[in-house]
Amino acid sequence: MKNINKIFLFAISIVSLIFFMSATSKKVITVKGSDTMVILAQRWAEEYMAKNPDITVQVTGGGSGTGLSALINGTTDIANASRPIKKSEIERIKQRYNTFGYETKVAKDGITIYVNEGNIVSELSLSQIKSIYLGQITNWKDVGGDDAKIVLYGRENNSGTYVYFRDNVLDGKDYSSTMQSLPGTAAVVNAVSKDKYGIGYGGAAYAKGVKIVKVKKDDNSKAYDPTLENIKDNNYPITRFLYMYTKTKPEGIVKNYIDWILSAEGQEIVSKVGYFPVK
Amino acid sequence: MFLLRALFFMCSFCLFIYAQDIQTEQTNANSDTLLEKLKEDLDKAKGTLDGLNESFAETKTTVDKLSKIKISGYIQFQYRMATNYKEATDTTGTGASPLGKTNPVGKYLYPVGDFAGGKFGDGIGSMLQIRRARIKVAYESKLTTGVVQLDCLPFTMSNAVNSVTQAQDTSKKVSTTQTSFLSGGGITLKDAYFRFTDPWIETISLKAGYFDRPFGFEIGYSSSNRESPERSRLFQTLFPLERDLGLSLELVPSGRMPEWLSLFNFKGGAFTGNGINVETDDYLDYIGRFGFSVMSQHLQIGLDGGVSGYFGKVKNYNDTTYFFNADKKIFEPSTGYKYQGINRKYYGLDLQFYASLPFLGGFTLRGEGISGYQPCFSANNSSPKSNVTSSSPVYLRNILGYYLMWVQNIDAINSQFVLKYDSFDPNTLINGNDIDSAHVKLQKVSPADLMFNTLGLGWVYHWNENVKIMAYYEMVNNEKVAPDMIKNKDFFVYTNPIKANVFTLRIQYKF
Repeated sequence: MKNINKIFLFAISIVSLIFFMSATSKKVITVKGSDTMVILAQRWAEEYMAKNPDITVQVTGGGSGTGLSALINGTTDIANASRPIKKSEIERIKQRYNTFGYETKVAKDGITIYVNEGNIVSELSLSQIKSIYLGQITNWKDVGGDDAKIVLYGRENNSGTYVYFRDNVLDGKDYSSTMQSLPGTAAVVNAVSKDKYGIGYGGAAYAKGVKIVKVKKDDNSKAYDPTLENIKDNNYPITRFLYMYTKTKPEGIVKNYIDWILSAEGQEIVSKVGYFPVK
Repeated sequence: MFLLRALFFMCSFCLFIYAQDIQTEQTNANSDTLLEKLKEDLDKAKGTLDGLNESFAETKTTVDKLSKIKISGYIQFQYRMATNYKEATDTTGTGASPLGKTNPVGKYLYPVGDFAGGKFGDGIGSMLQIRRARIKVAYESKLTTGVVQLDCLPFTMSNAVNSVTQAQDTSKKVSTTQTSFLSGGGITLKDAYFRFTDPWIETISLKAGYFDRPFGFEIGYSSSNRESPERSRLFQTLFPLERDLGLSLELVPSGRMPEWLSLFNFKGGAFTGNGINVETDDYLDYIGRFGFSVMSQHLQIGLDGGVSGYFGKVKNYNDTTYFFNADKKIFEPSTGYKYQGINRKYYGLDLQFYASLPFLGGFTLRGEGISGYQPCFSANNSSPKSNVTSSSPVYLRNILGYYLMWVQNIDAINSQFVLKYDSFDPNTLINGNDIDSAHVKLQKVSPADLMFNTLGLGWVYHWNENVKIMAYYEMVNNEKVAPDMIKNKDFFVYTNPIKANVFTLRIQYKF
């Protein structure tokens, strides 16, 4: 009996300690993940904090995979992702939290193909883009450009854009080994802007100082720019949703924040940044 | 005068033009030199850049290869206490038995902690230990995986599976060998396998080596993630050490398959049935699980589950096999079984329900049940876990076991509350009350035929992504035998509820 009393006393002490340690009032929302969404997430955070001075929203990038790992490890409240959550990631959330992760579509993006402003190529078909990134087409002259070697730029494998592009444009096949993997869309844009024969891909919002290539579904289709109308009408062929993931259905200050993002005000920022609203 | 002035002016002009020409020539010469130098520098820089590019490509190749190697592991350090130490041990030196057998003071009257991380040794009521210290090295490419996992057990763990006192001398040889195997300590192999996945639909995999048996849910649920310190008694008994040597086919639909197909999966194969050790007979055990998983992300509810089957044999090195006669409540011998395989069959069903509670977090209700036939020995109801060859006769029992578990997350404090109840009846055809002094000799039963239930209560605190703290208290209850067995040296302790409760406080570091 004495032993049991000791154990209960000990258990109560531990539980009290844990409650005490967790008792600090939380007014900080942490957001981590997709580099594609960093600019957008920062703009949302700035606007929201200006309207709600008692709330702090901390935004960091790192890639969709990094954000979802942080969500699983409990080091972020919201994971930004430019691809849907993977089955293996749902399994890890299930193991740790007994939930499945809650998905909220917050914006739409047309994955943009960038080339240098000096490149004469202005449109490509999906099959040409695929062949270029698989390393089957290696010279610009094969797609109507100069007689020069194509230099491939892309993202690292923790990027949602990398995964989305591989799964949807390359049909799940591996990128050419000659592709240079860069740690962010801004880095891809920067590399292409300086390399006359470079090609890259990424979010529409980053396309500054580079030329946007029109994309057509197949050789006989019309080529389209990634504009709001073309994405709405499903004419632009490489579109995707941008997501926010939480461990479970959002509650409290996290819910208020996501609700605001989905409001007219939050969606207006989506358009301003260069993405496309979901509402 | 005017002419002189004009001449002077013209000469000056000519001199000026001449000087300009010389300067232009010099400037041109300088520009050419500069251009040449710039070109040289540019060539040099280009060469350096090419060199760097080559070096980068080489480094990238190496890094890409290295990134396929993944090292992970965990260490579980714990304190355990037999909370009823005094009641569970002999305090008189008489064996606390009417038979008057003399035991040293502090000797346990029955096993305590045997399914809670290892049996407490005589005279020990609490202990610090490293329960598991594992390191896993995996090489993972898109379609192939190779894994080796080692465990370091610096402490002698005693026998973690044999729950019963040796009742029949015929089984002593078996038990001794198994105990020796388990208590070896040092570094032991936990996993060693490779897996190939088909490149076309990325759905069919072949796995070979030493790995978890594809049966039920709890076997494959990693000890580092589990919310209770140990697996349920039925799994520790029927699947000791969880692993077996074999070859397995896995059908896990990838994203390339239709969505409805990804709700299902199958894992199954052929195994030696001997755990870690080499094959000792011609029999292969066939084990498999057909599983499903459905969920609604919007509603935050889901249900996983599966049906499992185990169809194997255990070789009898004795001519006699004992079958239990349910009408007479006795084990009856049958001869002519030397070197014959005795059926080892289990049927399993497992379900895991997931949902969320507002303000608390997600929870899961898990249940798993197994029934079947277990060929083992008189005083030992556990499956073989090593290449033990015994001349003891095989006893075939009808078994039934299950567990129910509730794990409630309390996200606000990074914790989980755990409630678990498990039950294992190693012989469903006899009740404790049927074992009485009038029939026990004829019955040929032992404490290995008694049912045990365990109720566990736990608290898991996730300090951060690496550290987890667990406090868990489990209360063991046994099937009681007839009161007149108080004079039986093997059963007298089971005439009343035993006192084998164990408290565990564990800190786990995962990396």
